[in-house]
Amino acid sequence: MPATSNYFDEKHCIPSLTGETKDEVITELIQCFVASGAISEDESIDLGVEVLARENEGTTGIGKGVAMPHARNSGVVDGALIAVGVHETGVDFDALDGAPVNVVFLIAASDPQEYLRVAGRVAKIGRDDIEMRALPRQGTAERMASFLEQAWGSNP
Amino acid sequence: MDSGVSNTIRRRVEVLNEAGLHARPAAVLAECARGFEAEVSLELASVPEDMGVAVGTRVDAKSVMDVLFLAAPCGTQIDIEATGTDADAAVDALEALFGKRFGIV
Repeated sequence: MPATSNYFDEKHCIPSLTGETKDEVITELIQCFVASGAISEDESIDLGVEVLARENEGTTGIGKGVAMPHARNSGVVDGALIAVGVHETGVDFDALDGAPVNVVFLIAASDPQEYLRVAGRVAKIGRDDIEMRALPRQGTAERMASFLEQAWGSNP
Repeated sequence: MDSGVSNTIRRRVEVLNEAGLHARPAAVLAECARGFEAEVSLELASVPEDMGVAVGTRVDAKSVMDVLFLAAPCGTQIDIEATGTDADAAVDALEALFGKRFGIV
């Protein structure tokens, strides 16, 4: 596993999400990809539909305050894009454990295998209590991105 | 056997879902495992391709995040291990879920 993933871009990190609902937060994260030029405004609409449709099949709020909304088979990306947001008070994601979600990893992947690989590495970060306590304290998008790069590359 | 004596059951299964053990099957698996008193773990026994997770990696089957961490594609072999009074039932239930692709196409 390479030391850096190049998946975490400070332009795709939000240290303080303002959305108050699951849908608003998902839209806010997808808009990062538009602002950075990774996808177009039109593509962001398609991606939003894909991610929300998946969310309606079952929550991606998988517990411990973490959610991983995603599109596994999106035509709008090549490889994978990840946007990460921290919400100070927590958003209701209908999570499996009922707890509000404070950290959202939005994953857009071009194929299921790439999704599986990226989701596995994100889960590696998400299951680490120390890293998950430290992530919300990074404060800036730049620090979040470098923190996540480091966490991604560290040994399991 | 006396009730309360803890026994360990181990069984090898294979991921049959075409898209691998992604979030929905992982959620179904963990929910099922949580229904048992036994401690249940999953260990990567063999992988059809390198996903960056070492063979031998072992995780808690009751945690969705742990199951996702395995990044197990279709064809991955996994050893289920359960320890506890209802270990037999737990392994049977999980084996059945793998066999029917977690009810997910």
